[in-house]
Amino acid sequence: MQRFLPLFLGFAPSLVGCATLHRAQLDEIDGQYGRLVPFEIHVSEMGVNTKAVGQIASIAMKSARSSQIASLVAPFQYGPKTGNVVYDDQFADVVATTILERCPTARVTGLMSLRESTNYYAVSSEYVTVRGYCIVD
Amino acid sequence: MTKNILPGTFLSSAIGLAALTGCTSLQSVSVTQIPSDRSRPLHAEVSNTALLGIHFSNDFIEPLTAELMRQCPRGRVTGILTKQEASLYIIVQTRRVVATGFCVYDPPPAPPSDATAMQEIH
Amino acid sequence: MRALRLPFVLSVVAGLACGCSYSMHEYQAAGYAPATQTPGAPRQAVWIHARANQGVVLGITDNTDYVDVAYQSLLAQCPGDIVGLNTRYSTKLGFLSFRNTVEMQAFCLE
Repeated sequence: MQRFLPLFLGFAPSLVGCATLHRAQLDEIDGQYGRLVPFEIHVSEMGVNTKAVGQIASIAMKSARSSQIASLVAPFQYGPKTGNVVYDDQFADVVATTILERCPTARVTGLMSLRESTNYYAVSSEYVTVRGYCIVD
Repeated sequence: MTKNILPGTFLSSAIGLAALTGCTSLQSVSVTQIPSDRSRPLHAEVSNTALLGIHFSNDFIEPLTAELMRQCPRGRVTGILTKQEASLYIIVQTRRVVATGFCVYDPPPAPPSDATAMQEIH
Repeated sequence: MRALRLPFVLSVVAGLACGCSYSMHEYQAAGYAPATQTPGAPRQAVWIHARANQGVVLGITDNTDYVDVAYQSLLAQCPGDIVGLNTRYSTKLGFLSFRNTVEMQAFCLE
């Protein structure tokens, strides 16, 4: 039981999650041509914090080797980062076609594009959220 | 002797190249709808440089819209590509926002062709 | 168990360091209203797509011209109005180097 206590304490804050807004952009809003019906599109991908994974593994195995291995991975993930690293950068490409599914006439206005993440310490959810309005007669 | 020099030479060359070239990164990009009439391209940019990247205001961005409007008097600015960049030269950071677009003049609305309106006036 | 540990750890390291890690910076959907108002029935729209990359070593670069390349590529594909722009900016992470990518999808109104 005592062996698992540090592991639990390390994980406990991550159960709640920490939300971050990285980018927000707002397009024009035109309410002149009909009733506005809201829609929201939400796509996500799992992000990984390699250093945190190494730290948790080190706590669990009571060995610094895992942290050292995680440090070895860092030069292989060199570059500018927004949120955690993901393994598929095309997860948001479906948004373009999904907007048409929500608004088949393509009469869309008031688009808000958000890049967000919810961090659970070692892993995270990396989101793209697009909210907008369909113009209906 | 050669073994000790080469890593140091490589490191100092990399630092020198970085100092001269800088590290430029794209912070944000956005594009709006683009018109078919692209005969009047527009370009405006603003920048702000600070030591150690310590900036005390973001007012440098304000002339950007005015400059685009100056290049397109009484017209409509559309097809705007906006890039926000940051460049780091050792201890000096430059922030730059570049906007390119097109100036469009919409045709005036057509006069009414209905003769009934004229008859009612008489 | 110990005999399996080292291969497992090495496989995890190889997986994380395989060069298939990315950072997704920004996604924007905008500009669905036509840039040029025309009377009559709605116009036919065709998907167009442009992508541009920039390889950077040790973070040393002096420009973001790849964005302009993607933009010009999109303009070249369509002589009419371009609407419904979806722009993605991401980076493929690598060993002391990375590749920035800007990808634009849009509708071309003929």
